[in-house]
Amino acid sequence: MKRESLHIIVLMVFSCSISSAQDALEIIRKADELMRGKSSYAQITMTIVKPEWQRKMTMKAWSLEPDYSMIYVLAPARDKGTVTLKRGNEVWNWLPSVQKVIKIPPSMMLQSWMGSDFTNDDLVRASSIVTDYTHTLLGSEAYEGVECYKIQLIPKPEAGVVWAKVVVWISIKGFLELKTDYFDEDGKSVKSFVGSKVKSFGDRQLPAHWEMIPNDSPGNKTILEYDDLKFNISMNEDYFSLQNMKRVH
Amino acid sequence: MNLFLHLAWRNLWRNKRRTLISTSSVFFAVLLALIMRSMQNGSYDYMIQSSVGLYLGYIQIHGEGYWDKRSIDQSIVVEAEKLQSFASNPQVTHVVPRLESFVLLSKGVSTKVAQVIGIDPPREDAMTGLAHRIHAGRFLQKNDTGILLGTGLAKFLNAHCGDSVVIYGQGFHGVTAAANVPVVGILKFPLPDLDNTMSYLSLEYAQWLFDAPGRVTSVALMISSQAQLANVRSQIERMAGEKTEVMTWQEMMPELVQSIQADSAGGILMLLILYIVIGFGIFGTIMMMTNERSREFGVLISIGMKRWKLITVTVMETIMISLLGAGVGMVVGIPVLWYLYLHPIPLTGDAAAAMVAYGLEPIIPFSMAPGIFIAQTVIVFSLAVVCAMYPLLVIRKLKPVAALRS
Amino acid sequence: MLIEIAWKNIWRNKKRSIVILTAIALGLSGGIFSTGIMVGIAESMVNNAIDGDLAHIQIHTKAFKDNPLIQNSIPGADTVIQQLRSLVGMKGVSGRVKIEGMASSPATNSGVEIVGIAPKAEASVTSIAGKIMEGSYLDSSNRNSVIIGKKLAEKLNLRVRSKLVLSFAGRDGSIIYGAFRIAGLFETESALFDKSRVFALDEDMTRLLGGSPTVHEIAIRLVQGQSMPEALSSIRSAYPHLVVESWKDLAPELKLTAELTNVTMLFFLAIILFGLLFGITNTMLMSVLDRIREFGMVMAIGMKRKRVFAQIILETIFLSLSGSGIGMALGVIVLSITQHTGINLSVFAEGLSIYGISSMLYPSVPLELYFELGVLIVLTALGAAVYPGIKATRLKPAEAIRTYA
Repeated sequence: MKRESLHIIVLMVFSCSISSAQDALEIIRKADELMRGKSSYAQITMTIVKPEWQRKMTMKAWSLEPDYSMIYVLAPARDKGTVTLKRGNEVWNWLPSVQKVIKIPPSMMLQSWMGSDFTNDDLVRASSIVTDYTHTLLGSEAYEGVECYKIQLIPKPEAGVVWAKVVVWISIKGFLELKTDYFDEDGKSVKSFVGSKVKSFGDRQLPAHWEMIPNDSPGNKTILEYDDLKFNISMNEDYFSLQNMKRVH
Repeated sequence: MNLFLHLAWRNLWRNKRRTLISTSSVFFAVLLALIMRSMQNGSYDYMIQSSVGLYLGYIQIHGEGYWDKRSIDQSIVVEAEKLQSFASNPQVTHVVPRLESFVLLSKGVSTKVAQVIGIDPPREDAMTGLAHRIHAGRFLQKNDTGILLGTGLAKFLNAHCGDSVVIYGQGFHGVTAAANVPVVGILKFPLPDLDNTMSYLSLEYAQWLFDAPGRVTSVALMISSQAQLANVRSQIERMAGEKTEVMTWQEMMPELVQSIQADSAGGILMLLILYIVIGFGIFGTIMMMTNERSREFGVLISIGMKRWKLITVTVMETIMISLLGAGVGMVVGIPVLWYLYLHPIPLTGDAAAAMVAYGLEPIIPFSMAPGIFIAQTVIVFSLAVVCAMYPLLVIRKLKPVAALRS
Repeated sequence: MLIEIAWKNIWRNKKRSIVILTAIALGLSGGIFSTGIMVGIAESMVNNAIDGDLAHIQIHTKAFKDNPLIQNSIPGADTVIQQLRSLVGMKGVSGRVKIEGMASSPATNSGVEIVGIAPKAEASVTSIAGKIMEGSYLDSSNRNSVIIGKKLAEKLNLRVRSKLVLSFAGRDGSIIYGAFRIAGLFETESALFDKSRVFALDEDMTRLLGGSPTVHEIAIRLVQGQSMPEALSSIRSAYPHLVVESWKDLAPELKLTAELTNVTMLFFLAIILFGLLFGITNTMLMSVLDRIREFGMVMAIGMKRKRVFAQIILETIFLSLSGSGIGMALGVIVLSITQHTGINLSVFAEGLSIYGISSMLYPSVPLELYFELGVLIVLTALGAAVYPGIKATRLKPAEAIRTYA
């Protein structure tokens, strides 16, 4: 009897931890799905904040998860008509002023996109949070008064991500990815991605206000405000083509 | 005292030949030391000038924090009057404004990251000789809308003069910088690294492209000589304005400093060896002179002249010889070095070819800095005076009877 | 007879002769020593470049030389390497994968040249294995490891065992990301090299690139004493479709520095010899003036002026050669000692590293120098002897006899 109950206890504990890992992956998946859907259309205002100046840009963005997305810049005037296309691992820019499509070489992938705190690489890696890491549920913690799952992500050995560890706070109610912290090997948080101002967008509730904050440069951040966000619109791979970059508006 | 001086002087001219020989050994010593030091200083200055003249300049003015971050966001506005005020400093020989950034250059399917520099063509060429590197096509003019590419870059993009390339990058405050520019010239650099990454636009065009009107990332200055560096730097700092940094070439490229120092240390070593050689030469003549006169000394001592008086007179003689030799050496040195300064020794053969390939003139330059004259003359003079110890010692130990019989 | 007399005459005034001998000896040994230093510096630069990365000979395809793209690899490189290894005079042959890419860390990113190597082969060609300051060298069994320069690690804020992500363009232009662990940090004489080179295992690179093993560059180290021109021509004739170059072809800036060093040395030696010229002239002049009476006498009793002149020339030459003999011996001794212990220049380490010069200097002098110096000394002596000789032979014997010193 004792041995059996020991077995059962061990099994239960064991399955708890497995299921917590699974839970963690599930939670992340759910949150990711919520944010991206199968496809989406968004209208975004991006504000680049620097210690000495600020810049506002508005853009439209279409995406067909996980491999395709297209961003069309509406304003300011000098950048209007610029299109960024992502297909898989690759990024192209369409420059209307010179009527040319330019592929971003590896050396530029890590440069900032449009002057913001996002890099071209970030555009490409959006879904990597699900695939490139192993996930562990650390428990629950309140963030800004909201009870959240706190999930730790450790990059898989072959994954080409620089972070030593990523920690995500996902609200227990609603699976909103409220905060993501990116850590280096010394355990220092290098940048944080934070969501707030939850609103209704169609069939779901999501943060409408996002900030990407580099933690080592005070006074710098990039703000994304979702003015419009629609999900699961009918989109086709063909939409995300080099030819279509020139036509989209 | 006067008596001694008088005696010493007359002693010198008693034996003209001997005096002449001794004086000439000091004279030649000074001349050689002057030539060697002048050549070392000249090379040292020339090396600095060539290195900084290639691109860096002796002094640069930037926006605060630019040298660390190298972002176009740290560019500064520099009006024409400001440039003029820098130029009005008598020690400043060139004022060169630049707007630099890195961009993507693209033609057809080829895209490459490149460094692009917006230059003021006549000023840039006056300082760095960039126009001489034109391999094909033409150099830039003011307000030019064309681009110059390094040969490696042009080859990669398969671009020739007349073709257009697309420039794409980030301008001031993150603005998109994109334009189609015709290639008007191709440059050949001695270092393949430069060949593969450098491209040039006119300053005005670059300012338009990067949405940075009136802005530059740096103003480089060339000055008349390294010796003036600290002075000019403080003067420029006062003129530069707020939120700027003024840096010397040593601060911008500390490795260059050390390599030049290493060279200089080698030079000092060689100078020391030269001093030893000429020092012995002088010593030899003084020694011989003293020995020749040992009979004379013996006579004087035996008839009652006090040794110390004899020593004093003899030492004075030595000093006079040294003064004479050094003085004439310095005086003659002036026209000699002046000539060499104006007509540096040309190099030939492999060394010359190699220097020319780097954009350096194949010469051995000489320096006319007054410090050289004073320093070398004083040093050689001191060497000669040290040699005066010999007659002093000899006379002290002289045994008159033995001397009389020599 | 003349020779004996000339020799003995030198030693008549020991003090005087010793002074000038010392001057010549010190001047010459100083000249030799500083030549040794300059040559040592130039050699240091060249050797460091060769040992560090350049190697004696490099082979590429013509296409790669024009455009260092991934696809311009050497066809059948494995076979070529095997064949090269069997040639005479080869100390080591290493095939390298060369790709330009980015190295990134959480802190920042930096453009680098990624070199995929077979660790053992590379160690037989360059000295990188010996330059590991922390951690260890690459090992084929340790997959996905890299070694980077200490300076690069500092820039990226990484350490041994930190993760480094390399990104570069693949064959079809798509971007490839690879995660690696830093196995070791190296430090060479060249700061630039340390900042821009990342060494990975060729197998790992091949795997990331997909397809068959790719080699863009074959580097060869020759056995000591193997003649370069011979090696070059035998390799070139075996592989006419490939571009085979020596380190001289690949690094012309080394040549520039070597040439300039030569020029400086010559100038310096010229000045020293001038100094010695005056010294010797003065000495001989004094010696001649001392013996005016004597010369007068021998000429009066019939010695030909020519012989007097010849005697003075011989004396000068003997004097100079004795001095230079001692000087050269001294120079050789100092050189041997410093060659053994080396001269420590670490004060200038950073500056020297631009040029790739070690902080430890081993002076050396080519044998021809001694010969050349000997010849120059004799010429100097001849020049020095002229004036005193003329002085001696222009004497009017009658007057000379009556001269008292």
